[in-house]
Amino acid sequence: MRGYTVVTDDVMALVQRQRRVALTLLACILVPLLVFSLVVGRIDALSTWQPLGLLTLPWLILGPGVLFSIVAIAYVHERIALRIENEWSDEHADAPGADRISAPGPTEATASPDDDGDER
Amino acid sequence: MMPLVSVLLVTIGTLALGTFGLRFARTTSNFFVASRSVHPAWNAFAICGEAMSAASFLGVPALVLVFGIDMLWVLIGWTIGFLLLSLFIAAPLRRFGSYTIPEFIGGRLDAPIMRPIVATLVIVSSWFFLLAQLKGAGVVVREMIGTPYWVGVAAVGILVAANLSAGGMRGITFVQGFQFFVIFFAVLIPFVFISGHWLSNDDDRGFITDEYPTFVADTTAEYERTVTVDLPADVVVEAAGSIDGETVDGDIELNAGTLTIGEGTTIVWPEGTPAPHADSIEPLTGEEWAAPFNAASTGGGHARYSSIAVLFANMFGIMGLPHIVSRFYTNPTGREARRTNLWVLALIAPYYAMIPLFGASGRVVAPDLLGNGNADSATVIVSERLFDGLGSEILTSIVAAGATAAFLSTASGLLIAMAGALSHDVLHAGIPQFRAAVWAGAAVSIGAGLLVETIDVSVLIGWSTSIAASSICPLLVLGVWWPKLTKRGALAAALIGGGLSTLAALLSMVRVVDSGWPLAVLSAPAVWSVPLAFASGIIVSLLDRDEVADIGHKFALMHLPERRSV
Repeated sequence: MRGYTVVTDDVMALVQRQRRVALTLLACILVPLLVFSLVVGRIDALSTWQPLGLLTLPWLILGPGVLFSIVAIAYVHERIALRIENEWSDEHADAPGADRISAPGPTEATASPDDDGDER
Repeated sequence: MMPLVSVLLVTIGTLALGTFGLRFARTTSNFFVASRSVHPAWNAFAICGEAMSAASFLGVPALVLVFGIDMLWVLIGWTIGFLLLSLFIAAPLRRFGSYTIPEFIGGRLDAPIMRPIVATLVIVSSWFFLLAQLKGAGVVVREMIGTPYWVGVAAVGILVAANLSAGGMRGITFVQGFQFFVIFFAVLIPFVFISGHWLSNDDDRGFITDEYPTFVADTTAEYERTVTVDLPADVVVEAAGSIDGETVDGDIELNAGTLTIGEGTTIVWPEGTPAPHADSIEPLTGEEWAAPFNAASTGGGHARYSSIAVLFANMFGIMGLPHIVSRFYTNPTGREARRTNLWVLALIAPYYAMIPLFGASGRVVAPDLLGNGNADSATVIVSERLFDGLGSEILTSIVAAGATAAFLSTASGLLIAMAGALSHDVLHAGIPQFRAAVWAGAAVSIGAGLLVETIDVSVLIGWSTSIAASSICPLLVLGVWWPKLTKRGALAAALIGGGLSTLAALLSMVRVVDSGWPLAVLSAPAVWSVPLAFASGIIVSLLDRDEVADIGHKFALMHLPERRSV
């Protein structure tokens, strides 16, 4: 498929690697948020500190702080996911066209008549 | 006059680009997936156009104005939702190569029976979201031009249906890209001026004080529907209309306590009067409003639970919203779908960071919105109240243009998702039926849009995201990442998650309970309905022996990367 020589285990190994990266990066944003939500209501000094004068620290963290951290994490994911795919491609692309995954019959997903952008 | 011109300019631009898109609308592939040829940057503009909806443009500032910092969890939830799309959905979904979400689920599970079921979830979820856009249209057009509520609802419904039936996905991609730029600058430009105002030394009023909101100048408040408010102190006002069932016209003394202000009443509140607030809202001082987990009116008084529930509903909701997810089908490859989503996050994070300022400013300069049932117009009113003369009019016109683009763009995406599901997955038909489905969807939505005038935009969005989060999202995630998902498991996840979240929305709508934990649990169901949907999908699949055939091939289709060109 797509010019790779693969068996199902190869595919599942790729899936597992990508899934691990995705879950790790998701934890990188959810765990600090959880810690913040547990801590901030209990420490008054944190809730009322106004580092830039107009708004308190929680506004800055829950506003620009978290939002731009999420963009950074998405960027890191894009780089890592691409690297994993490229490494996988290099390992499995030595026999283009040799598809050892059993070819299915037409499914619902392949039934669209004039799909011109896909390789199925 | 200027706001009217700006609204008309956006409308004409939308029609012109829609007409331009006509030339590309020839095949089914053009209509459903824009021939899978949209560049990541332009697709990101179109997705941002859809995501920057009336919910974020009007709804979130209204929530921030009333409830404060706890409503930032809505924006965080949406942004994490887009991150989840990058991490789990965008590339595999595109690589599988369907036209719609129901088609993907049907193909992944070899289960044609799932297509109409998932199509129904897509239509219901999109429909609630569409009603919110139409409600926003009615409010903004009335606020800007002074027309009755129904004019905005009908005009937007007809305009969007005309554009979609002419150009389909290909045509609407141009339109939504254009609308994104209008929305973004309609927030950026006022943001610069409003933040400049607050950071300058000219205005010593602050957001975080130990007082309840008061009118900072004599303020004329119009009550477009009957509301019950709590008035904190005795005050003499000039009023025309009806108060507590009695007709008033001229100066009248109002005593502290609960008042019923009739539809069509106008009251001039004198400077320094503590603002009346809707009787369903717990009044907050500036300090309480700014402190996390303090909005006692949310989630039956359980603000911390409510914040987490809001985060859950929105992050998983975005992941399952059909009008967002189906745009990834228009990219040429899975890699480009993922790159598209990175662009989306880079564009939408600054927008989400700017939006709360409108609500915070509204609390200071337009506290009448706390009590007149019109908080959804905060974004539009702030510039008008904060600045004088031509500057005020120009900024208000820019915001009006942005609001118009926001509900036009999102309504387009929602209607295409609904029409696609109906024509492609229920009727198994082509372009003529797609066009008929667009007009049918628009007609039903316009009719229902007239009935939701009294329901807040954020409530309609909440129902939509709860259903998407609890039914479509688990199907997508398990379908893409878990090879053991079976047809029966998917059915259990969809029916249990979708059914329970819909039931919870209905029960909270009819106010079966009105306080405490029962209200908290019913008003924000995603925190329990999403895990329940995942769990039921997994358990039923593990018990089911009817495994999907050729799962290796299907996973290869979704996960194998495109070959690099040498």
